[in-house]
Amino acid sequence: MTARLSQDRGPAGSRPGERIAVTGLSMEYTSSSERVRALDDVTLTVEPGTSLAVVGPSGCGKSTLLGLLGGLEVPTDGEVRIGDHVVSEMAEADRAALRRRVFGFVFQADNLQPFLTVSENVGLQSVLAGMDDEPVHRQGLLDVLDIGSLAHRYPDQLSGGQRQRVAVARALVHGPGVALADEPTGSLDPVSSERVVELLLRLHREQGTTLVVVTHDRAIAARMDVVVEMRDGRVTGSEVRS
Amino acid sequence: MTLVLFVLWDLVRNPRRTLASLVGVIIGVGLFSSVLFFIDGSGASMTARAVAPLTLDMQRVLTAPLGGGIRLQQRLGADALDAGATTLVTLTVHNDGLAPANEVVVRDRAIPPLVYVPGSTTLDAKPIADVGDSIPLFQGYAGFGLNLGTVEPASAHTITYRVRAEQSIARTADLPVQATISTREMLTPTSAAAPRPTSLGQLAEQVGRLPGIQAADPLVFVDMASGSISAHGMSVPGLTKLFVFDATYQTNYPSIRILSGGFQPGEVLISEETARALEIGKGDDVTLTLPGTAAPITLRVGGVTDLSSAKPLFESRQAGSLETFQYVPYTMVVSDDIFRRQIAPAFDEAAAGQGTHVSSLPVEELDILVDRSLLNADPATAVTETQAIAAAVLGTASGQDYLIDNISNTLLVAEGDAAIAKRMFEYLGLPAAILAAILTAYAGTLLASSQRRENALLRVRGASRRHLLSLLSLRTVAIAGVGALLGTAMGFGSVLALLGRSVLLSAATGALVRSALIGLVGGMLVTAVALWVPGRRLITREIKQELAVIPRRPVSAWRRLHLTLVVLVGAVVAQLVALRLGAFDVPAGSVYAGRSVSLPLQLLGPPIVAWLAGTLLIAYVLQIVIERVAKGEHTPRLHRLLPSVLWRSITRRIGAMTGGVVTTALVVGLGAALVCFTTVYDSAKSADARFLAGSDIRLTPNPTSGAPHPTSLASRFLVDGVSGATPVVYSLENAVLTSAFNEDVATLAAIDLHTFGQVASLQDSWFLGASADQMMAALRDHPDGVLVNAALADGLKLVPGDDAKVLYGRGTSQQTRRPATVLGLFTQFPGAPEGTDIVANLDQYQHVTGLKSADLYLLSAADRTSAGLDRALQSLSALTGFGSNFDVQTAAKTLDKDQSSLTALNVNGLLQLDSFYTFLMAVAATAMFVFGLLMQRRREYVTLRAQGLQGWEVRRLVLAESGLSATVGAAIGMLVGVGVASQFVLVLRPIFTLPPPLAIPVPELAILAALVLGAAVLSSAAAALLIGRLKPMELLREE
Repeated sequence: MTARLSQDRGPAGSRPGERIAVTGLSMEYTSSSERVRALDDVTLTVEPGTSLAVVGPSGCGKSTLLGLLGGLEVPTDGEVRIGDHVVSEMAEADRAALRRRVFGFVFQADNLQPFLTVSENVGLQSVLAGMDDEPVHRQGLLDVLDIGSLAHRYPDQLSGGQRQRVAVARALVHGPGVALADEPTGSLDPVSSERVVELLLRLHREQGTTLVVVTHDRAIAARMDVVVEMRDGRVTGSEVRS
Repeated sequence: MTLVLFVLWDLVRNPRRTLASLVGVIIGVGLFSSVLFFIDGSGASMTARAVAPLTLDMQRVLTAPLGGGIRLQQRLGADALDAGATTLVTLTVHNDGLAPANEVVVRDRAIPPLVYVPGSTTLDAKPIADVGDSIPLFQGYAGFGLNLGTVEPASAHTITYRVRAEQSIARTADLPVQATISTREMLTPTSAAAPRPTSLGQLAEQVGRLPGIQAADPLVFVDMASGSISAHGMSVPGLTKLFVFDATYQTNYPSIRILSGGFQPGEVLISEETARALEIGKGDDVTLTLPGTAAPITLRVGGVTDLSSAKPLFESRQAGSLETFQYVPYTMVVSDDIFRRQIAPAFDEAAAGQGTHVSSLPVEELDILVDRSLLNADPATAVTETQAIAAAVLGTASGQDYLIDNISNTLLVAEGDAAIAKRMFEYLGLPAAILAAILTAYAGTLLASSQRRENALLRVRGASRRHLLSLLSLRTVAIAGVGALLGTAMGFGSVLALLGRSVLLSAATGALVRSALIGLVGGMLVTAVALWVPGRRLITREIKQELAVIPRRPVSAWRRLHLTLVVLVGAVVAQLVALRLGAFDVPAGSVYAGRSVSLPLQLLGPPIVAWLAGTLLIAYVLQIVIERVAKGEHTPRLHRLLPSVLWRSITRRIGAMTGGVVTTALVVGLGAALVCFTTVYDSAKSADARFLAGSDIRLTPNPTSGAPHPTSLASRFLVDGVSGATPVVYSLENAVLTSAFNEDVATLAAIDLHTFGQVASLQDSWFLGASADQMMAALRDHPDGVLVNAALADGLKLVPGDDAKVLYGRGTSQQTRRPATVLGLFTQFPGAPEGTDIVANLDQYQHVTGLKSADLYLLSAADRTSAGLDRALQSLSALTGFGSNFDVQTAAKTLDKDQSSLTALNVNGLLQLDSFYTFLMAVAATAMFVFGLLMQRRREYVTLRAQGLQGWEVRRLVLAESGLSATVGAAIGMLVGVGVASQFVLVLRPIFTLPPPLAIPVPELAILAALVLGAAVLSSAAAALLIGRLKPMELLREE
């Protein structure tokens, strides 16, 4: 299958990958008994169209970093800049508006809406991004992801791999500038896992989307342009792969 | 121990979840136990209500009147008898009195193992022939005794007969005494074993010392000839009544009022009417004419009394008219000393004298007041007390009298009412208890589903099914135990607030403890099951890994619908059959009539079934319709974001919403039914009261008033606050109705056709074959016609159009019999608690009799509220002489008369209690539904936010879904509730005199709906707030 993913975009057209700049980012929260510093003075930059893997042991702050990048949470200190937008200083309504257009999320759990069909799950994101509700547009994407025949099924009628591909389709249907994936293959078998990673990278290549993947899997990380290692909320190393 | 600590820590660590689980249990047990406490608290008030109208608690009437010093002794000739041996039975009749005893009858017979020896009876040593083969002392089947005729004072007669023992008798003294004696003066047979008569004073002293007796006062009264009281050459113009009692009696029965003067030694009291008729007062002399040949005695007047309300003196002691107030205006009260020294001898002499006739002898009785503080319990307990007291009273110097135990008789009726009340209360609480169980089970489901993840983690760590079930059991016991305890406390507190400390704590402590234990243990068991079952089911499913994915389960609404339909049809058919068979047409209960309420409580099941099945039916039909629509081509495009998401969420998960709708509908249905019933109850009670009184105010000329009360006086009562007034001629048995078939004494009401209809409301249903207006018009157009009570008409074989004759003004000097046409029939007529047989045209009545007086006046208030009534009464009291000339009765006062003690039940209070808990449940159910949605869908909401949906958009989705569920549920509930209320009303119809119509109180129902919707909005707002606080990354990463 060689079709370009960008063919399936709506009227909004392609959105070039956004630059991500994180400066002095810290995040603290209070657990039931103590104050936890999840991120400690993290600074990094991801150039537009670059793929970045964040690796590290459990609890090192990878997912927290991803949530801050996507504007789902607000940092205690520091700055998150996506393109021209200083996400860390935006109000929730503005961040929500930004998420509609600029971000695409993929999580370990598919998080599909159980009352929507495959096609509607994907279509909802495109409508949120301001695109037309044209089933024909998203059908192409679903075909590319090899789930076109499942368009009218509900999530609980799909296998885990199929659901995760729908999640990828939902994350990419609106051509986001930044795709954020948190352990996207964590619950998949190796075959499905490879397929999902391949799809993400293909989108990244074809659309120029900036891709950030949080993963435990060193093999997946090795396929990204840049690998950042984290430990105890800090960036402890990075590797740029050509 | 580790498991226990783990569960306790888990419950403390998750306060919101624990609290959510507890709410259902607390409300459920609270309602259940509050009903039990309410019943305890109401028992004492039922007793109090039942005995409140009693004039005399007990009357011990002496049956050995003056001149009746007759007694009988029995003696057997042997102390022991061998089988076949005979012995002589000797009966001796003594007359120790001053007067002869007339028609002295001795009654006796031999009872096994003794048999009569035929032909052995003698009287004063002369043989008496047997009657048939039987002893002449027990003749025929009825067992008539031997009439000795008159027994002169200080004389005796001896009767003997022989008996043979059919088996050996060790002690003949142990054989029961059968011989009795009665006289014309002493109709009640007295046993031969009766002790010698005790004087009234001695008896009062002995009875007064018994425990439980507040007062035992002697009373003697005697009817005397007309004009027996005189002064200054004038005599009172009517029958006279003489009373003998002392100042203590007057203190114990305050309806005896002394207007001037008081009890002074050697002086008498006279009634106000006597004083007015004889133009005398305190300090004047009055002459009392005695029976027989005794010379009149002159006595000094010590005071003037008003006895017009003295029920203890004037209520009838005769069985046929027991407790009927039979007032005699010309009366005198004398002391016991005067009576014994100066009056009683005259009666003795007159009764003993040859050729003299005494129409009435003095009646001596002991009027007993029971210590009411001992009756501070439910009627069943109270009647045990009063019956024990009655037995003690009767056991004191027994054998010469009989006891009228009014209080026990009344309480026995109230006991029956109380049993009905308990069942009714339990019934009214039943639907709410069902709801509470549903809520608890719903809470249990939420609790179980919220613990899925924890259970999964425990399983990963090696916990087996047994461990999980143990944890569930411990958690269930903890929640159910604490919830039941708090619920019981809440139930007690709510009843305490409703009834007040004094009422609730007046219940027996044992009863309250029993109710608390039942509430606690019963509530704990029921709610434990409701919590445990869903939890166990979920654990089982988890272990079977059925929850690895959430399957789309087909909703078998059609199957449920069929079953529901069958149940509903069954309930409706049962109710229709009951209606057809007249199961609801039972007579109303009445303490006065000695009849408990008979509520068809067995018919209470169908309304409850209809409530459950009706709600489910409507909900399932809606579900099926929505599913059908959702399958069509009507799915909105996604570009209309919120409506399209909402539509899909609702229609594709309609089963989940149906659950919320059904729960809300059941709660609202119950609430609506209670609100409707409360309104019906209030209006029906009010209508009853107005019907019995005739209108809002009923004026009866005071018997002590000498002022004339012509029918024309009605217009004088048209004062501020009074919108209408009408005169009525009405008194018991004041007419005779004669048909071609028969005639009967009847009670006639003559009404003013120009004003009656404006003052007293007439319902068409009371008249047969024509409307009320048509009947009144007929009576106006045909003045010589009458309306006849259907029951009387049936007895006299009269139908409309028949000619009859009416004797108007029966018992007056102007009574006259006139032809009358039967214009129509009626079943009920207002203003006559004792019943009306004939309704006549007042003009015609006055024309034929010449009588111009009214017996009562009915007045309608311009404003029927209590404030309006007060205003009218104030204006009336300003009229000259109003207070002294008229007794005022309002509709509220009338309700106390001739109603079942069931009306003493605070049904309104119970309904308030139920309503309070229903509202709590409505709020809890709505909140549970909303928070249940939140718990189940929080990941969906967070995902939508991650996708870019604004916070307010998510809030709108939550609000719309919960609001829709609440709205649809409330609408269904209202519909079903009104239907159920109509059935409630049918069941409780016997409480009321008039059939209560169904009323739909729109404002109250609107408040109920607003509460439910308000709860939905508030819960949604709270849920939205919680959604805002959710940690998106945590939820989105969750597997």
